[in-house]
Amino acid sequence: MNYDILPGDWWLIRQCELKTQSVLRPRRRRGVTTVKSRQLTMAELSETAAKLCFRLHSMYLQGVPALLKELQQDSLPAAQYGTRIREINRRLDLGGKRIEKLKQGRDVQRFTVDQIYKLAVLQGVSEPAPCVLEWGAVLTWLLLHLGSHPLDAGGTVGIPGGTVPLECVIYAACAMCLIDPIGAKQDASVSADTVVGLESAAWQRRALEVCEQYVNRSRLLMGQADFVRLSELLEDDPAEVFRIAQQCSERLRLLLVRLGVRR
Amino acid sequence: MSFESAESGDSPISAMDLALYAEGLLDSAGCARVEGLLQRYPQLRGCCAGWSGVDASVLSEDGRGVATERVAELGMAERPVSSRRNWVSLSAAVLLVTAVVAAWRNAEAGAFDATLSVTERALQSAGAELPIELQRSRQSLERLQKSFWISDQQMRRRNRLLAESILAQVGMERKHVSPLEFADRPDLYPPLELCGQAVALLRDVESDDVQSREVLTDALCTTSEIRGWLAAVQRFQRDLPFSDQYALSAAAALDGLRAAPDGQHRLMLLNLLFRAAHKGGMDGRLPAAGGGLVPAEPVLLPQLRELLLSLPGDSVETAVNDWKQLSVPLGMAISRLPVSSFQDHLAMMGICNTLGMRLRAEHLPAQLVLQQGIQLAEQVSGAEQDLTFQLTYGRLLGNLADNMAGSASIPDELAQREKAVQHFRGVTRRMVSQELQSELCWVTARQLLLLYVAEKQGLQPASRVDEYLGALKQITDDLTSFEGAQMSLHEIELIRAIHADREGRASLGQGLVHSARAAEMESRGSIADQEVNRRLFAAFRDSAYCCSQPEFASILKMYGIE
Repeated sequence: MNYDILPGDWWLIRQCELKTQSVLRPRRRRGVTTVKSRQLTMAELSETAAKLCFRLHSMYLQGVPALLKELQQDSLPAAQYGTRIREINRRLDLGGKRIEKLKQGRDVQRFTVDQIYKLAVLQGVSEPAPCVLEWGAVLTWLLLHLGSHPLDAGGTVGIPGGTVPLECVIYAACAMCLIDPIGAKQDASVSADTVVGLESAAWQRRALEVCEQYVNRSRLLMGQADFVRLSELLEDDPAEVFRIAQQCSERLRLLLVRLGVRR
Repeated sequence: MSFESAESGDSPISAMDLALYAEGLLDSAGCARVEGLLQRYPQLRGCCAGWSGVDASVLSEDGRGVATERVAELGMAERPVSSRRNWVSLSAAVLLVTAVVAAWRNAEAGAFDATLSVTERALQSAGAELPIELQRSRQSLERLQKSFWISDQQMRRRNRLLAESILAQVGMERKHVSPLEFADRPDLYPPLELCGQAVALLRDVESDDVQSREVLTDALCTTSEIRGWLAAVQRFQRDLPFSDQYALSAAAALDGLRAAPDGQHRLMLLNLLFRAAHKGGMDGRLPAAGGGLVPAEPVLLPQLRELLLSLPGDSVETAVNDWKQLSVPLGMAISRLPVSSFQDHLAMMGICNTLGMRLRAEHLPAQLVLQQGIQLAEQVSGAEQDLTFQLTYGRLLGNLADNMAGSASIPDELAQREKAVQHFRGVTRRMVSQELQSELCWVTARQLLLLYVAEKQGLQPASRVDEYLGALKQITDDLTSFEGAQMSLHEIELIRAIHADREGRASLGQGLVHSARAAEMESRGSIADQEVNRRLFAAFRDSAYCCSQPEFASILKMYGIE
């Protein structure tokens, strides 16, 4: 069956100002912070999504999610976490000054990537970076939130927190499989109909695979309930996965036009 | 289905909440909850540190609030670091600018020098004789402009080389562009314009810059030479007023002498100066400083007097008020200067020739000076192909013969002029030059007249006259063109009379109108000249053609010839 799902090509758009209210954007130039209100761009949204994924992954590798859970259940003394962090810092050869610098938000670019790889190595994790699905899902989530919530009185956006909705993860899985990879053009000798048939079957299969892989990962984006539901859908009603993606896609189409991303 | 996050509200704080908080994306309620947690567990702050640039990407006001707060907290610690960093950056920037400026300067000055060296080599090599090479050198030099980095010395070198290349071009253009076309507008003659450019480039050259001064002198020397050349063209080929060009020629030569009083061009400049002044430069006009033209003599004479005083020699009469009085002492003083190079020889030969002409009224001094010139010419070897040398040598020989007229015996004069005729005949066989033809015409015509006199006195056979008449007919296109030979009109009339007599056709004659006029004017000339002319007209006493002319009787009567 064919589903009308918006491919993830819109994720690739960078130079597009979103037609929302102006957002206050602080800027630091020569040590002076100035606040200016201007439009957000797709590039900023995409970068924010990626940073969020990296941050999340870094927390996971440091054991923050488990710590949070235990801290909030009062089952783990905080001192134990401190011991672990100290050990990580020692193993990563992070001195006091280094930590200070990191806290000050300097030396950011180098830290984000290699810190994650080093943590991954220390934790024995074979997938050190967040997967594409995570970025696509977070980006979609941020855009949907931006499109459906009026800005705060101060002209800013506030996400209530929690986890990424299931539909965003499912849509992202389908959308990324619908993007034409560079250079992989179909054989011209095969008739167009067959190609469409074969192609649609192929992307749907891949999308389900992506979802299954993600369920088997650390599932950072989703809450427990969504994780259970996705696992059931994959097993019992894969068609529902595509229906969910299609519903999300319909909302996105309208929203992307309203925000000026697509025409 | 809602796309709202699944586990917000009262649910425990998730890693996502912390991440959203750290990225500044969490809403105010979320921020409050997270900050509550962070207060309880400060060790968690580490993982929320703004390493992904929260400050620059704040989507929620609260996030920004946190970020700003954080910046404020850090402000105290950061400020000295920041100011130190500013100093370091400033010093680094200054160093960098210095380095860049130094490199730029070196590169520019180096490129400048390299171009100069390449051009210098090109100019000194045979390449200077190839128009394309010369043009290339000149263009690359012209591209080199004065800038902040280029020293005055480099600029002087550039100007000198550019002037040299311009002068090399002048040398080539003079061969190809005839001055005849520009006789009526000499200032536009292209080689002259180029000389002007070269002079302008070096006009303000320092007195210690010997090389540049030499080039400047060369340019002024060439200018003077070209002006003299143009004047000759105006005078002999176009019948135009020519004194102004000679005046300009003399002025340029004086400029050159001032630029390098003891340079290698000294005698050449003196030669050009003396000849230009002799040929009528003093009667010409020079451009005045404020525009317009002023008579040349009052301008040039003080300079010439000064020049004379600077030359070694006898004490000079101070009361010289015109060129006539000054010319001989000046010429004599110059002729005593030492001679070394070929150019010096050539220049001194020219000076002797001019001085000899000026001294014509006094036979002996003129003879001595002309003989000095001939001796100099005979010292030179290897100048067979030098046109100026051959012309000057021949003129010295011819002028010496002319000078003997009236003072030496006819056979002696004939023998002397014969040398001149043979000289010019030999050279015209080797070289093609209008000037050589004119000079050959001059000595042949004078020799013909003298041979005629000798024939009538029984000193020479008539066949010699016939031989010379035949030769002259060849040179002058059947006695119609005496251009440039500087023959008097009455001499030409007499030559035509010989021709008419020999052919027996009176129609070949030209009348004796100018002869009659010359005879009338004779009383004003010197006694020697009168004697020479008397001898000449007396030889035509029996000429059938002359006797048929109405003026002849009165001419004979005027000379007292029976």
